[in-house]
Amino acid sequence: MVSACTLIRTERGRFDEVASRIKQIPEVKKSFPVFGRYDVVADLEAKDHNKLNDVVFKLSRMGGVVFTETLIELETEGD
Amino acid sequence: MLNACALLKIVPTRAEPILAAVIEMPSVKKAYFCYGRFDIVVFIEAEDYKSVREISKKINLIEGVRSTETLVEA
Repeated sequence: MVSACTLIRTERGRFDEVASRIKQIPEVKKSFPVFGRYDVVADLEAKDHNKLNDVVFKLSRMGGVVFTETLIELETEGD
Repeated sequence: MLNACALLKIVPTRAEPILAAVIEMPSVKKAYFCYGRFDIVVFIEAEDYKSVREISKKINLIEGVRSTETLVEA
């Protein structure tokens, strides 16, 4: 299981739409619009890195999404 | 419930104790080391903006935390 946090900037005023559309992706455990330098934050969990890449790719191509920055979990040996 | 995401930059030698301290906080639902511009991602669920501010302040006080960028649910 690999976690990641994706920070998303959307077109003006579309953060609610993007936040709710993102929720339909099963790997998106939680997504919410935010104040600050980003518009939406998504908490992702995927079974492996390949699946995570697919999800991030899908997110970045969604309507209204202008920019994404993904912080991928640094797996320690314990995981 | 109010969601927030805190992105931490930390002193590498203090990594383990910082993550341990953050994970202990009751309103912290998830926290892990990460690649990229930040070192630790923290997901917080709190009552209101005031408690998010309290938690953010508490995290900032942990020795070795250089900076925190807190993104609060709009």
